[in-house]
Amino acid sequence: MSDVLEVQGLSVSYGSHRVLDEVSLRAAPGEIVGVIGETGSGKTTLARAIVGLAPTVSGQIQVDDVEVTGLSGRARRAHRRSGAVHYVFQDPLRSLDPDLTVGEIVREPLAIAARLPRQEQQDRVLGALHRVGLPADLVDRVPAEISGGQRQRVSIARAVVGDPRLLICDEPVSALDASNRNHVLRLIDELRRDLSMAILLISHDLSSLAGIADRVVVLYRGRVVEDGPIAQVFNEPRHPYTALLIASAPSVRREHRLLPAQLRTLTPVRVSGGCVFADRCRFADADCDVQPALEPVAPGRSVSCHHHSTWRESLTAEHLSGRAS
Amino acid sequence: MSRALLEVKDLRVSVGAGTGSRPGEGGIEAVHGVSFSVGRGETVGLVGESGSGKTLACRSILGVLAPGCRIDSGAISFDGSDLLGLDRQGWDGVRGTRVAGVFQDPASYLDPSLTVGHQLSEQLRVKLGRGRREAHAEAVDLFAAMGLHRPDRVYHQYPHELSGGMVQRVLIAMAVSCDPELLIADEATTALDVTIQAEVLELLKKLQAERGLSILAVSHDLATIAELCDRVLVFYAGELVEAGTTEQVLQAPSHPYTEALLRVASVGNWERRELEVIPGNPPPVGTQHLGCGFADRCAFAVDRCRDRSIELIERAGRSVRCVRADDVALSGVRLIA
Repeated sequence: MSDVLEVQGLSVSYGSHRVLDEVSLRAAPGEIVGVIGETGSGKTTLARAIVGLAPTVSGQIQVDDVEVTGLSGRARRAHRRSGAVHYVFQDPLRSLDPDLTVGEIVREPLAIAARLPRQEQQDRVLGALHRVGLPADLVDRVPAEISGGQRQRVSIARAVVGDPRLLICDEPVSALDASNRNHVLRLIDELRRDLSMAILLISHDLSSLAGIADRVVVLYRGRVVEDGPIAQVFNEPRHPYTALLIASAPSVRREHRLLPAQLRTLTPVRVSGGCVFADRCRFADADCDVQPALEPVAPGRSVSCHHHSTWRESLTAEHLSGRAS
Repeated sequence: MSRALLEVKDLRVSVGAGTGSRPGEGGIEAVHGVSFSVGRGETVGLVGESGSGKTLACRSILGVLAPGCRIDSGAISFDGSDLLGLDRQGWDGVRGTRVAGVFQDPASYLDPSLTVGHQLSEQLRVKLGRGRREAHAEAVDLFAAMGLHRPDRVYHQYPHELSGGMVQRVLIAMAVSCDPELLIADEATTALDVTIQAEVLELLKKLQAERGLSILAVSHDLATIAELCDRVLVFYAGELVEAGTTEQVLQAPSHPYTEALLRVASVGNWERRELEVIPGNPPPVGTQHLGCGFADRCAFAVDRCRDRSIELIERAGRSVRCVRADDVALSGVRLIA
């Protein structure tokens, strides 16, 4: 099956500031692709670029074989209104109109995308609420009258009511506690299975991807530093930044094989023009003055690091000689 | 063991009390008689879902409850003296100097129109009576001790020029500037990126070790608490339901709610699977319930969970509020040292 989303060499700049640099990724129907990165990594800009809300410098974005970057004016508006791509934001309280009822909020995209008889709209709204596990009697409430977990479900109901091909979820569970987080993640998992939509799940938090994402793309300062099947990437990271992310994530098992301190540099230095991670990387050397390309290292896996096959060895040697702090 | 540094006894807090013409009247009880203590040099974690009363408890200790919240009864003693009876001047001698706090949204605790160095040295001058020059030097040293790079430059920067992690380090510098004995960290790392969160947790551990600081950490995330704390207190619906050392609680939870929290916590398993959830929702804040507040969500609930009030049973250094604590087998996680 062909991919729903295909991003090739996408670069985005705000003024002279390059926010995304040569980013490529793809997502197939029924696939959840996790995008992970910290504040300023460009993950939200990536999402905005895909819906045509960010100034693209170069590269292609294809949604269902439609080139999005070239669209302008009327064509772009038509693409947005077609409902092929839908977006779920982090903070449902701020992304839902406080004056509209739940029913009106969920109906809005239908009214924009298609001219449907009123009764059918109503049926689809109730169907979408049912799908996200909300009772039908919520339709007359306003967002302030329902709980945080329910609000995020309303955002998701609004996003899926028009059967989008691609769903972009930008930090959908960051504002929720662990139990509610898993409820919403399970719901997202059901949506990709039942509606076979492609889902881009953006997060700064590794645990928001656990158990449901198929592949992960690791962004650092606007560049993809590693991508591949999530279990492979997180169990055996090839990029020092991915390793640092995993070592830093708190865990109830205190299970880390590597400590964050072993992966942090002792002497941060600014490198300009070289590898984006060099100034925080413990393993950076003269080679890293040149930006490494994202290269395949195994089937379905790519890494952008000159030392992807050697940094672990130097870590062990350092560790054995007792220099690791 | 010597007397605990902080002792909270049977604390009851109400929310939603009148603030205008009827100050302090009405309201519903949200913290139902909570008791716990923090020893000198100890790190204790309060964990629970939103609305479990953990933030109300720690704000009561700092004497900074929001308008409409009221302490109904109970006692909070710090180093042997009662905090609840303090007047405004009394608080000045405790808050900021002996007990300090850091919170989730650090930027909102700073004045955006003053440099962060100005704000720290102002505190040193007011609270410790330092001179201008002395305060400046001490502030720069404190920033350096918090792991801020180029502290002399950071001194002259405004809050908006710093990243979230840097602002939190500034706030921690301000909190520890007067060498407090107790630091209350309420979701202090929740909003930070994971790599920065790990650095701030390390900083707190370092301060704890170097200064003999006691820390009361509050979080909805059991994993964060597990990384930082010696002892864990689990809050549910305004009650303490389980307490014990971190190892005890994680390896062998004795309350079904704790086990449920462990199951939904992140455990570093990246394979595709059906994620665990806790069925149902916590009771609304202020609900009065006879029996166990968790019974409706609990797989082990029986009649006697609902028809009587359930006491906190203490035994072998830990406590649990569950009538079936002895006859249900709960599973913990295997800790990897």
